Amino acid sequence: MLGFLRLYAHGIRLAFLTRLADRFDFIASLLVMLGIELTPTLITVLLYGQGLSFADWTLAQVILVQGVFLVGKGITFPIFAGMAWAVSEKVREGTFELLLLKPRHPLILCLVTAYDAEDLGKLAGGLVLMFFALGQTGLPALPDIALFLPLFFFGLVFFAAGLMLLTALLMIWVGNFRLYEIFDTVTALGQYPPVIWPKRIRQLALAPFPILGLAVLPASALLHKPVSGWPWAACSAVVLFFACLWVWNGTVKRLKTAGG
Amino acid sequence: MTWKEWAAYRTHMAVSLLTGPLRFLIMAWLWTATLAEKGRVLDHGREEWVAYSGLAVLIGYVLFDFADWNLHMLVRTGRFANYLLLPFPHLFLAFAQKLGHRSLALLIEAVPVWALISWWLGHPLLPNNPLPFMLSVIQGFVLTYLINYAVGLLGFWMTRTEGLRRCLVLLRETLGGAYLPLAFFPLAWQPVLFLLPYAWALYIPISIGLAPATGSIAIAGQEFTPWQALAGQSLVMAVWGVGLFGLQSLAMRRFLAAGG
Repeated sequence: MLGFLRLYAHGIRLAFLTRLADRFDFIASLLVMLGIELTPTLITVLLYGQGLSFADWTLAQVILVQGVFLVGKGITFPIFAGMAWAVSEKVREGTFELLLLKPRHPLILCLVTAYDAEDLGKLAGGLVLMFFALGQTGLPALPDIALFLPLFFFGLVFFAAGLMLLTALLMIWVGNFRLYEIFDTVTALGQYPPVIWPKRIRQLALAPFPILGLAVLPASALLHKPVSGWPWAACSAVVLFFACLWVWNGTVKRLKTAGG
Repeated sequence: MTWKEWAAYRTHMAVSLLTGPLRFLIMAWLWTATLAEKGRVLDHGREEWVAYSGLAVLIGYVLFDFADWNLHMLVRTGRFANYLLLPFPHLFLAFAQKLGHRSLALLIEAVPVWALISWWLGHPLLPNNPLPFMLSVIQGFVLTYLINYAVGLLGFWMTRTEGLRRCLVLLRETLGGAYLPLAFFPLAWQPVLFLLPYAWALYIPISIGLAPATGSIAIAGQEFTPWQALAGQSLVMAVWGVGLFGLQSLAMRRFLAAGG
């Protein structure tokens, strides 16, 4: 484990140094990664500005959901999202086999070599949104925070599962970066209060696709709103995580390239 | 040519079949969650705003453009030199390519998504003011191309414009009204929004398509008829066209200096 952490720290350092070679581009990318993620917040603020609102949700509460979502994304994306891009490039160039030759599990090597520093903009932005929103709604009580932490963790698990599946798909469907768009559009639904879901399919967003677990449930915990159904979301996040891990391993085994 | 080339990438385009309706669905759910069935905001009812989001997705397909990416790639790899040998300017060739892949997209992406949106609305989504609407979509098409080509020309001065270009795409979508109608932005911002070309490329065609035949379109707080809005769009297009030619001749001198 210690060896892995040392390796990983090295990977992170390398990622930063590479990006710092072109600082202007790095800063612009950081800002834009953040800007894209703030679009739902902009939409929400403008909607509330015209007097519209989600039933039973104040503006600060919705912003808290979006802040939690961004923090979750800001933690998982630097670790897992760069991998999807890097793997797809490597498979296309035929250099992926080099990873298979090395004395570690390919997933670990992918993670180490593909730390994505520019996604850290999301983390910073998410923290700002969260603290701003909490400043408006008041600090949560300790039991609420205690509930928030595990729920937030399961949200991270689901994010990670999705990104692993994305990587596995990119190995098969080489070069189709638009798969990212699908991932983003689907998860974007998790940035709004649950009232936007029609009642009939709201259950589906808890299990088997715990999109509500990404941010809505943890934020509800902080706000002392009902979080009914969270065990469903937690279980399905864990099941999906292991299923995606299994798919990942399966695709690596079945991967046939010219290098064979 | 472009048809054949892009038919090979049909799965790329098919991704839009998923993301387009999803984006529309998110917006449609947002409208349903925030606006009562008979509720009105900014003088329009819920159904009209849902139609707005539908038109935004569809016109987005038609306008979509990556001339900036393409041009920048050609310049950076040096392949642009080949195009200088052709008996017509690259500006023209790239436009022909865009016509090709957008007309293909019209068949593969826009038509099925139009059918889906119409099904959701319960009646076919048809624009009002068909003639000015068609004209303004065509002008928007040209204008988007001009804007993006100008951004691509930046490649002659900078080596890595990835971050900057993504910044501009974000601005284009948000300030063009792809997510929320520009009428939702504070009145104080509106003059700025309409000084930028983005609003004219996307928002104006949508507004013309939604305005009742005798109605008017609000541009920065002033009311205009659809035909006046169309004329304004032509003006913006002309200004950008002239500016682009100036920028292009500067860029060409720059390129010869480098490739020499």
